[in-house]
Amino acid sequence: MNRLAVLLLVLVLLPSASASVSVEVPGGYVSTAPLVLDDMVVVRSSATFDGRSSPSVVAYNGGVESWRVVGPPTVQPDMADLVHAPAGGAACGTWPDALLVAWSSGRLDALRLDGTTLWSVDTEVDGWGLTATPVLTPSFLVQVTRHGIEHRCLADGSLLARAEIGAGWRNPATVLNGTSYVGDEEGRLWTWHGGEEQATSIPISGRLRHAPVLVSGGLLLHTQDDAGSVVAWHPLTSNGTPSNASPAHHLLGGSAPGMPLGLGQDSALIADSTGLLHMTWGPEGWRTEEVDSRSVNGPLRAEQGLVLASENGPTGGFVVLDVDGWRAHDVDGPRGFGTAPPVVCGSGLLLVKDDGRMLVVNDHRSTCPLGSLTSQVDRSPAVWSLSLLVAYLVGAVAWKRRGALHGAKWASPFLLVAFVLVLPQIGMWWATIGPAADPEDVWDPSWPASWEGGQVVAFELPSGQVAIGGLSEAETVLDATLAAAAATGLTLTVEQHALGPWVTAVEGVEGQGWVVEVDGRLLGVGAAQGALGPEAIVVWRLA
Amino acid sequence: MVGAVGTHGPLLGPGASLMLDVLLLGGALVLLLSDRRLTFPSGTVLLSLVAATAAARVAMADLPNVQPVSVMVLLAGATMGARRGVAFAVLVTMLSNTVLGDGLWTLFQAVGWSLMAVAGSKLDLLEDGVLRLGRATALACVLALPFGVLTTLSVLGPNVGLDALPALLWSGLPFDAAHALGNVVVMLWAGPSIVRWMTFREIADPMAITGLEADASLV
Repeated sequence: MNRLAVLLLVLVLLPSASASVSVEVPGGYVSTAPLVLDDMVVVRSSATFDGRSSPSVVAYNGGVESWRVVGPPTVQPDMADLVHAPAGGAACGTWPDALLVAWSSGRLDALRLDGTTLWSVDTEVDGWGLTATPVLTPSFLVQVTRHGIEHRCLADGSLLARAEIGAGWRNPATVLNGTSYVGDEEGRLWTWHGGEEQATSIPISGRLRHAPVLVSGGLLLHTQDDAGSVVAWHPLTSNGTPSNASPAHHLLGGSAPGMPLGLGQDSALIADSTGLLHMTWGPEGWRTEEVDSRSVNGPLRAEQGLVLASENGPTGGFVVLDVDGWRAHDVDGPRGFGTAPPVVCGSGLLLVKDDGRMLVVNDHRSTCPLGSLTSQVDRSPAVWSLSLLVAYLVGAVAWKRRGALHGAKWASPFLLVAFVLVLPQIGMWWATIGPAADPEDVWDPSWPASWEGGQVVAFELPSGQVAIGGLSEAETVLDATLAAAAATGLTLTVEQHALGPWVTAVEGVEGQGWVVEVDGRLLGVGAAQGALGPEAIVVWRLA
Repeated sequence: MVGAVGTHGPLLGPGASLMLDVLLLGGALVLLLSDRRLTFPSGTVLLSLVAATAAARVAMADLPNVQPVSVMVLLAGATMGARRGVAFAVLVTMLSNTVLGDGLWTLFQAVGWSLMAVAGSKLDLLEDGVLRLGRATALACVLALPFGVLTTLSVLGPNVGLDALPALLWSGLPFDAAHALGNVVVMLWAGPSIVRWMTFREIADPMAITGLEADASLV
């Protein structure tokens, strides 16, 4: 009996060891910094190069995902930061608080803070679409597109002015006194005096993949070429036109330059694979100081007296330096490849890596609107393991004292807690082994043969079937459904139920409710828990 | 229970819904009013328990298929008899579904719980007024499955045919298990107390209680 008791105890304790401790942003790579607002944190994940995940923007509020927007399918990473446009007005109209999302598929969205779309416009795509962060001015937004630079109205996204420039990548504009400066991939720096029909350009030393930085009356550029990188400084003339690079301020840098940061009027911080370099402008040249040796290839960020960056490497951490004195702070966070710099959130720092692992550290006052990210951590394995353990212990004691019924009385509540916690997983597994329609019958002969071997999502509407295949592979039924709706233009209503988010209407049709089948089997768990393989047929039909 | 969230079963139009409500409510009232042993105090207790049970069901709505109604109707049948037990079951169903959602499934739920009340009245759950806890717990556990089967039938309709029934029943089994385990917990912890609440002792004549005669004569 004692050996049996010990064996049971061990079997109960074992699952506790598997409690997960990390939080993952759904979707593909997280290449840009999260956006911290008063009561929410918004983060975007881009698609992966292999097309397995769709790009998305996710909002977290009080530790819980409050909404998610799935972007158009693409295999290009999304490099544009999310931008918060405060409510305002201009000659073209007024707008509420909005989030600007520039998708690499070419679409530019303005979302209300509840995730609904305020307006949406498409821009040109040539391999990729938008990779530059939108820039706000009091009257309009400046968006660098694949081959152009545009002024758009924040109220409705309408085009106010446009000029053609060279093809670019991750090249936001710098706006100064109504003039925009932007580089491209063809080694040119463009100048566009607001509203003119054409932009002018001068040659620069390589590909410019950051917004030019204003230093001492000129523009600092950290361009990339095949040999590495070059730091150059182009003084601005009296009419705001950049002149050729100053030979005295020419500097060779390391490979894969990051996005430099202006610090005051006369200095800047640059980054590349050789580390971080503080540069102070002088008439005779730069005065430089190496402040960190870690490889940084993404944006540098300054916030609350700190310089923040992500170290990009297989075991890369985060760079957190005091602006005064460059003292480095140790930050215990996720490690790996990443370009998204840390963001101040509440009293702590919000850290995220390429693979979507996100963490709040040092938030001692718990004021980050994300809430304690431990609330997002899946504690259920630990909780149900503990429940089973307690059920065993108290049940055994009660049984020994007053018999079987008493033992059952004391064990049953804890067994119930454990069972309720694992019910989604049980339901999912149970549904997969249950009776189902013949899988061959699930395939619709009218679907293109090219969809075979991948994921297909179909909506059986009263007006007919709407189906889509060939999308990026989704991990869950919900992800696949949202991606399919975005691709087909269908409007979905998704509501929270006891088992998580569920589609309650498609194109406004509620009917008697919607059920979903995966490969002919009715899904027995919530759509967010229903896992999908690389080949799957998801069919939503009215109950 | 149907394992697919969002499946409600055929919705009724306003007229049909009203007719169903009239039918159910009328049936419950007929059962109560035709019970000549039902007094005003006992009826008040019964209706109070209906309200409390319905409120508890609504409060526990977020727990998947865990609710106190099954145990309450079982013990209502055991303590008050089949007639009052069925009326109790129907009234709880109607009252709680006004909050949780009303439709054709209300009829199936009412029938299911009514059958539980009848089972409670027939299967000797009390011995000298005391609950036979083991027997009652086992019955509460076992009856969860047929209840689940019956309520699953409510989703059959124009868009869900009989061929889908095996898959629906199969996918609902884990939730029926949750129902059964929830019944076990409620019965073991609250069963004896519920029986005490439901066992109403009529006091025919207050003058029959010793000591009051002297007080009455002083009045």
